[in-house]
Amino acid sequence: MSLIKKFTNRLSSKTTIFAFLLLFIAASIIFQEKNFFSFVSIQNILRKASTDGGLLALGMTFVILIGCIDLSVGSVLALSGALAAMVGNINPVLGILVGLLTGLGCGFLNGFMVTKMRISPWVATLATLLGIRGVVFLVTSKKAVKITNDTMIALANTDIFGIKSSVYIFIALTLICMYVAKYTKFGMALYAVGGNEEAAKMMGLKVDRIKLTAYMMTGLFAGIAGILLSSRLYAAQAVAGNLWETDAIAACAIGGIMLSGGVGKFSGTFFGVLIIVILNTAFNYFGNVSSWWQNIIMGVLILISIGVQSEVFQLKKIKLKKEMVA
Amino acid sequence: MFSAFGVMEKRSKADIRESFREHAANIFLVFMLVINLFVTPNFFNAGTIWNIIVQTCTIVLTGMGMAMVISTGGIDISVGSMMAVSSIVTAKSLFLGIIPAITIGLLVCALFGLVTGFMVGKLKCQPMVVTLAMSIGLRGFAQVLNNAKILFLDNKFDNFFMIGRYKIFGVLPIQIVPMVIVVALVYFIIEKTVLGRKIQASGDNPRSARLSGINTVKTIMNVYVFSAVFAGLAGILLTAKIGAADGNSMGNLAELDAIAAVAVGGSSMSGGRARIFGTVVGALIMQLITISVNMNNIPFEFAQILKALIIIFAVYTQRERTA
Amino acid sequence: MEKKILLQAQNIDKTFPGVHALKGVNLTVRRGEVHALIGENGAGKSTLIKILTGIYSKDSGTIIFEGKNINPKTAIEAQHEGISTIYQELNLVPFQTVYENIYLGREPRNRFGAVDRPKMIHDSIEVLKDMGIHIDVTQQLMKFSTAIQQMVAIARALTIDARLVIMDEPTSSLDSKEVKVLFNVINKLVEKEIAVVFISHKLDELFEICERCTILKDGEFVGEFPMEELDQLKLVSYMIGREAKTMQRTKKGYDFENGEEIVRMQNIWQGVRLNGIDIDIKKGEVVGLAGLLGSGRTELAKVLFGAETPISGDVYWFGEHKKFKKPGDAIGLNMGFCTEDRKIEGILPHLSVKENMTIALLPQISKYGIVSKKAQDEIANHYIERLKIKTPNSKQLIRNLSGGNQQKVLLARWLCMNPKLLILDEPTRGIDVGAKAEIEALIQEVSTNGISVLMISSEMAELERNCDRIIVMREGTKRGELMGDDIQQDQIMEAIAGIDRKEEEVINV
Repeated sequence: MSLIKKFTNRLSSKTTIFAFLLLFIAASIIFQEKNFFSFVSIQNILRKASTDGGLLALGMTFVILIGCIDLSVGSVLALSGALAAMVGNINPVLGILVGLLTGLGCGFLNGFMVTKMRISPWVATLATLLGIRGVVFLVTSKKAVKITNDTMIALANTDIFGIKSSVYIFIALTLICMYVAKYTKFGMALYAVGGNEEAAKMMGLKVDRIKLTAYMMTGLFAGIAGILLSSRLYAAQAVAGNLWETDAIAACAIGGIMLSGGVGKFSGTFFGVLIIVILNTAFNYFGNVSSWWQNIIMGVLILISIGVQSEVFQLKKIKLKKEMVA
Repeated sequence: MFSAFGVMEKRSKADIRESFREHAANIFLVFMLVINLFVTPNFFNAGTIWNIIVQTCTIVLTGMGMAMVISTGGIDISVGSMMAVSSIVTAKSLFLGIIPAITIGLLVCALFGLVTGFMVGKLKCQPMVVTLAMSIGLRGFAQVLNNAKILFLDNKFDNFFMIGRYKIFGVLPIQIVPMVIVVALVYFIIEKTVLGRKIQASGDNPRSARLSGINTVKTIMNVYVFSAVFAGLAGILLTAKIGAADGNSMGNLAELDAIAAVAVGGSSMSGGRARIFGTVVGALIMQLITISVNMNNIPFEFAQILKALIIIFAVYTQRERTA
Repeated sequence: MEKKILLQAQNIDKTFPGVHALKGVNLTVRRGEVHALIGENGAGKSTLIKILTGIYSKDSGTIIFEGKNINPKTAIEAQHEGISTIYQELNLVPFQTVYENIYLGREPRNRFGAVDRPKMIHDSIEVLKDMGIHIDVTQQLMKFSTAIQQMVAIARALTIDARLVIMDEPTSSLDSKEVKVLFNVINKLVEKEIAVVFISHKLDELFEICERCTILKDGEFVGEFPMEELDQLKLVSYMIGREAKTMQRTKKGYDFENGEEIVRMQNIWQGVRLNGIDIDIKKGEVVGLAGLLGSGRTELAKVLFGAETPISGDVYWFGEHKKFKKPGDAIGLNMGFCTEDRKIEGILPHLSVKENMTIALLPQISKYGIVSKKAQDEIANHYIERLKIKTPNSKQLIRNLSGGNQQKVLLARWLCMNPKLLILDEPTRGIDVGAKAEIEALIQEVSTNGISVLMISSEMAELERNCDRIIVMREGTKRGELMGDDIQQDQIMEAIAGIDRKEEEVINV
């Protein structure tokens, strides 16, 4: 097999973990003077990962696994955060509930358009990306919503054994997702629908319902992300999450989640997120132009990831061995 | 329906939808004009009309490229960022002279368009993903080129400014010229040339197209280059008018206008038949929406939501139910 | 010792818009029996199967399965009843592992409520072992050959307690060793008293593994027979049947024996379909390709046209060795190809009749890339008149035309290029009688003008009427060739059935 084909076959989460470790070690060495390899810095990376889009990527994994996409996660994050903040200032429990329900609701809206109205996921979630952002602007009058309630602030900022609570939430959710993927019927169904929708239908799986649930999961995670982000920043901003959907997609692509569906592990997404955060952090050391370099890197990374996933390089039916039969 | 030959033909629901599509844009345009006439203060005076013409230029140019891309069954959401790239690249190259600068700007765009076309046509990647990645990467590229700062052009470049600010006979905005030229060019290509047919065939039924000898890969690469170059041109014209190149905001959400223009104009969103004049009407409608919202002090987001809804509506009604 | 009846479907009738697919069809299958379902394209086999497996619903008739009346409305219902289907495209998820595929949708749970993977793995190994297959069930399905994947599909059926397993063309991508493995597994199913409905065109296999068969033709029930009462010729004649001669055969005064050879294909191997076939075509000849479904005729045409690349073999055009990498190459040499399925690979639905007709001709009627509208209109009008295409004008969208007229437009697409060779794949399928006659007359006319025609058809009478020479294909090789007076439906059928009359005569002497 040619080198490229060998590479794509191995583009599993194992590769991502390997790449992550490599990157981490490299960064530690390069940025020795900035104390990259220190508890504080690692903590920061994890913290950033947890509130700055890591959850979006986790949620995005659900829809990419079934072969769809959700471009609106950034806007959903903003809306959930804003509504949670507004209500949470009065009653934190209600605020959290509102935030979660907003996420679920937006997810449902997206899922509905894709399954019942049969609109392509790209068009549907592009529209919600714009539409929901518009709603956020209207609701917040383009101003940030300050969080005054202590419980809301505590959500992401509580120190437990020196690590922020948002990190625990992020890791916990990752583990839950990994469990769902491997040990629940829903998880198996996700991979089936993404791998071969026709076959899944023939096997009796309720494809539409599974897709709808996947979208609601994505929305829910975006909602959680919104709550945590506004908690961490002590305010919900109207422009929160702007363009973060690309980071989420990139994290998934790097994490080995194939954009055509059916392949990839949540653990891969986790490390994909970490890789992106490390890259971003590394670039931040280079001054204010850095954030735009991130754009370039992101664009290139996505192009490479999907280019490599191209069917031109894939062997559709890999017949590696003819098995021995008794 | 009976034809002259006295034979009944299959007059499907799709046909009625087809004729609706043809006229919807025009009806909508008239509708918009009438509403504005009554509602918007100062609408029908010369200043506003010229403003409309100037501002529609961008949407028309990007819309032409978008129409060609959509005709092959693809899409290009990187046109906004492409405008930013051409803007900065051209501005930075002005010291070489106007013509060289514009050439370099357009060439750079063409190159990026080629990359996109290659990934969509040859590697068969999804156009949405490729152009999404491009839009992110190109925006970064534009910013990095000028250290994320706005590039203000000196007055010594007033020859260049002419491209964006000149008024023919002191009245008609110069933007009319590139608009007419590009529309005529694209109309000509689509309606009169072999390439135009190859484009529409590739989008209508790629398998039939290939079996008829059409090189669909080359055709697809062609349209993405066109889209990139037209977007680049739009960026250059806008830069000339403003007198500054802003990599951050140039072309922001331009793809939304372009796609909506094509959708409203009646072209098939899934590939095939492209309606060029319809797209021009669509561009006008989009601009009218923006202006109406502006002049009536409505929050800009409503325009955004409205345009998004229009795209959804167009796609939804075009879905063909196969037996 | 008669086996007990498991399935009795009687008088099954099904109509789709414009097509009466099944006209009172019967199917009786016994426990532990391997029952062949036989019929050509359009006979109604797949419709019948889809009704049994709940994908379509019957208009009328009864289905009695294991003693009770059933009418499955979904695939799952049918599966619950005990009817499983192994499709040609397998309907499995390639990225998932073998054991996941076997248990998808019915995953066992452990006491914590989690999906019990160890149990799935263990049970899968057991099921496959029972079938005589030993593989690593934790590997992704796509890593295994098609044969093994099929076994996995069968294993899945077993775990759902299928009493009836329907296999749709199971051997189409298997080599002879793998077929033996499949047959072993089928025998094991039989031992468990599971019935198998076996759909295939490979006559040898049918005789090897099946006990009884049901034959369908044009949606009608021809009969049910024990295999031992039939031979290949009887079988083929039931399948294809004789059709009344509605047209006279034109006798051509052309000496083909010494005609100029325009095409020679030697030893073509491609995929699983073409196994070393040779054909040749002479100038002005109408060569027919006869054979059952799956014999490789369309694949051969596609290789000749450059739409597919053969693994090995040579193609000669007017004596010169050529390599066709894409259709454009063949078109450049004046070849035309009317595909089998005009909807999928033929028409450009939203473009006009005029555009559809001239799409391949464009390079020739344009200067500096600009298409000559005048030339386009002239050609379009010329062929609309000559082929009697029923359309108000050439600007009409092709999708609004009837099937027959669409086919005529597609024919015009190639005719207007003055081809030297015209390849037609089922040119009169789905077309009314009038248009059919017109198209056949056209084929005669062009061949008289020196254009060679390679015609693929499943209709014996059509081949009989139109061809100067018929090449009979079977399983990717040439099995026979008929010329002149030998071209008669009976002879064609015999050739397909694999009988060589001359050989028999020699033996009888």
